[in-house]
Amino acid sequence: MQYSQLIKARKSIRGYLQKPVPRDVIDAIIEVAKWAPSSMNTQPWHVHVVTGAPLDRIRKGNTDNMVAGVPPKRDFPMKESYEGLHRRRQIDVAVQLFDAMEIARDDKARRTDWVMRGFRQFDAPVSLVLTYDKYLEPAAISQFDLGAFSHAIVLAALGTRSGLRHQRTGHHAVACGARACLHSR
Amino acid sequence: MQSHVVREHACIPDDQNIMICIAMGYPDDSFVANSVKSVREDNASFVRYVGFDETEKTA
Repeated sequence: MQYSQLIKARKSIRGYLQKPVPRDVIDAIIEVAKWAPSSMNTQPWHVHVVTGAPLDRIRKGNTDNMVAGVPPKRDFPMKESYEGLHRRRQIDVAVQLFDAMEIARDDKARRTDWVMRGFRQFDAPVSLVLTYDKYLEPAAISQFDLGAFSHAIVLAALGTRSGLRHQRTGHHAVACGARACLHSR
Repeated sequence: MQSHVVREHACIPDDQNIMICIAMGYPDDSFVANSVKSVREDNASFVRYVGFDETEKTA
């Protein structure tokens, strides 16, 4: 697929097949994505690829904390809420999603369930936890680099659709979710 | 995200900060929200060009 097609074809995936992703497929995706640019070629990223029991424990821990009313926690300061145009766009895409799922505005139970899905990382079989070294704080440039790396990961995953491996195994393309943190608020 | 939960179960070293978790897997095409495609603004709403007119004049 052409890059322009690939970048436009990418969309956030919020429902996954319960089918494991082989380690060599993930490794091939990262092998491509690591060619993302970074400040002074620092390549400040680490990737922790999590699946199986540890990922299930993360889902449970996130869920338990949310049910107990523990506010979401990040390792760096982040704006609590969007305003103006940003807020409008946030709402617009939420409306698109709720319309698709046929979740009514006043259906609190299903709305809550939807939010909790995000905290379960959409029940995806794999989670890539991206980190950077703490000493880099204040780390805006490194965070920017991890953003470029993230985009490269999701495009590389989508690009596996046309790969030989895909044709041979009949796999669907590997796809990536909305980044879980964006749905954690 | 509850970063302390991710840190504990994914055994993230104390000297690293967690930026993001990316969910990965094969898409369930029967899950209707997967058909949702977000929209983008027109370039004109967020792009401005500087110096181009001058280039055109001197060209």
